[in-house]
Amino acid sequence: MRNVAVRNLCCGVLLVAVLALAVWAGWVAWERYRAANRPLFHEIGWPDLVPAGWTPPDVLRGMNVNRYQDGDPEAIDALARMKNAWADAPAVKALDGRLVRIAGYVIPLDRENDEVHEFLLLPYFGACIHVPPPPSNQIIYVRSKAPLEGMMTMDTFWVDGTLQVSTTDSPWGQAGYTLQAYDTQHYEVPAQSNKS
Amino acid sequence: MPGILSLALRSAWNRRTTLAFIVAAMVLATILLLSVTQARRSLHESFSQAVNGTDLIVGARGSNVQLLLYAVFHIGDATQNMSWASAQKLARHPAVAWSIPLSLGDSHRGFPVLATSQAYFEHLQVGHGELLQFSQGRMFNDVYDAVIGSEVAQRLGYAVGQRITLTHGAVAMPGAAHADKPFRVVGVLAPTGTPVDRTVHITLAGMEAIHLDWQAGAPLPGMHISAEAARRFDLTPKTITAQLLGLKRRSDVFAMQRAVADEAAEPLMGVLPGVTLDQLWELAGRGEQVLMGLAWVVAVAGIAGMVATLLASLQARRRELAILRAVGAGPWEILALLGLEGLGVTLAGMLLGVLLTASLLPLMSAWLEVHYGISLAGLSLDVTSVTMLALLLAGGVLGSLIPGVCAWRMSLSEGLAPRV
Repeated sequence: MRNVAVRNLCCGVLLVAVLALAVWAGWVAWERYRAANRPLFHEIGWPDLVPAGWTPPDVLRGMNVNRYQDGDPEAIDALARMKNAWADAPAVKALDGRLVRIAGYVIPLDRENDEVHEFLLLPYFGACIHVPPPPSNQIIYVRSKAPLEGMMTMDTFWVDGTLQVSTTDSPWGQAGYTLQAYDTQHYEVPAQSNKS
Repeated sequence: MPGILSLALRSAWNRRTTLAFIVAAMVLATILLLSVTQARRSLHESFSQAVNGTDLIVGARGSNVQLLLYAVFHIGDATQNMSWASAQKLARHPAVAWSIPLSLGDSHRGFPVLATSQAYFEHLQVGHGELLQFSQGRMFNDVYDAVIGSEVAQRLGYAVGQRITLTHGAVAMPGAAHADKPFRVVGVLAPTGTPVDRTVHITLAGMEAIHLDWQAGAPLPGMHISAEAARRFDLTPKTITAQLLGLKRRSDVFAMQRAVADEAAEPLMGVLPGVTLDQLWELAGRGEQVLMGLAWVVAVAGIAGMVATLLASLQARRRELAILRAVGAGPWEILALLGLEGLGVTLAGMLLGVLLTASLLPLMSAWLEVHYGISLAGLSLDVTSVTMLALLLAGGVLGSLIPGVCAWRMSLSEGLAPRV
């Protein structure tokens, strides 16, 4: 009787192990297939979103900005003039419809049940605190059909997708970038060395 | 083999009182684990639903979390108002697609009263990009019109045509009622699962009218303006509590936020609802972790109780184990039977716990709905919950192996001659 019980137990365990192996093999095959059929995304950096050869008008000419304290009226005035100059920041029309891969900091806009469908991608940290906001050609409005989970404000992500250049009637730059996301991955920020 | 099984079942039935208490401990552990996870998830979802679609919330400069909680969820108080002039200026800003002014401060039988414009019904999004729907009636037109949320209508039994009186402040105090200026319900909104359901909406003109002859929260003695007389006054508001903004291009939100902050006329701030909610959850995150930890401690205590009871009962079952050996059960069968008993008890406790949680959650949700406008979804067994339950089951089975091993060794050493 003991042998029957032990044998039945062993058979059961073996069956479960085989099933688990089959499921895992199937999953690996699916991932391989998906990776093989992935469209090719061209990696770009944030400077690529600014047309080559465009320089903002030199509003800081003749000013010694190192001298200014926070709240200095001249500094505030300089900032205002800089922002006005950035308002005319143009977009690179050639990037419209391109498949690109870019990394940045995220600001989730709409969240349902920890799933994010729309977010903004930014080039630097803390764009919503007391630093000036980036010009309109340095913010990407990303939309994803597949929900993205575990995305917290100011996380870093790689985003692969189709870039679109659109024009809107806005006081802060006519041109804007929208990205239809295909895929996202966490961006691991490299550890800072303590040498400086 | 079946013979031994039926013997074991009858043995368990004999000890049913003890086992019933162990099952009760498992039930409590399951209810606690499931409720904490479910409530946390529903709360996050419910809060997010209420702010979807709004790009910026503008109010007097202060704490962003407090502005969000007050303007959208009507929890807490406002520290300062913003001027109507600033609100108008922002509404006309070229980057703004729509704006909704909000003014709070009064209540009706415990439900907050919100004064707003018709843009509220045209632009406010609740849930997945849906606008507000009416289950009865229409939006307000006249100064003394009111539109109520579904929760208000259901709790107080109101319908279109009902006359209501508003009270100054959040709680009904004697002498604080605006009794001379009743409002008429002209519309009831469909349920949304957001704080809209428990809000009474009136026009901004109506809010001005009821406070015309009031000063600093009390009616001015000797100065009484009737409801009809109030219509002839200029009922444009001077200040409002907050303003919701929707932008033409969502990526302009930072530039807009900076424009609001740089407004020289008065100290204002604009908050991004999503970012502020994340900050709120970060604050609450520690508390949630502690709660989850406590729930697991209770689960472990339940399993430990089960192990202790089974171990203690082994003494009393020596003769029973000897009889089982006599009818042909080997030591492995004894171990398996005790493991099966642990599995059965844990499984019974878990299933009962799941059933009870499924019936308790709607009750808790009803209470939260009335008091905070937050609705909890019913029990949904997703990957996290199922993993938790599986862990609990595994814990129960592993725990019952301890008395099982004891019984195994006991039956080996004592054989058919137990020391009773």
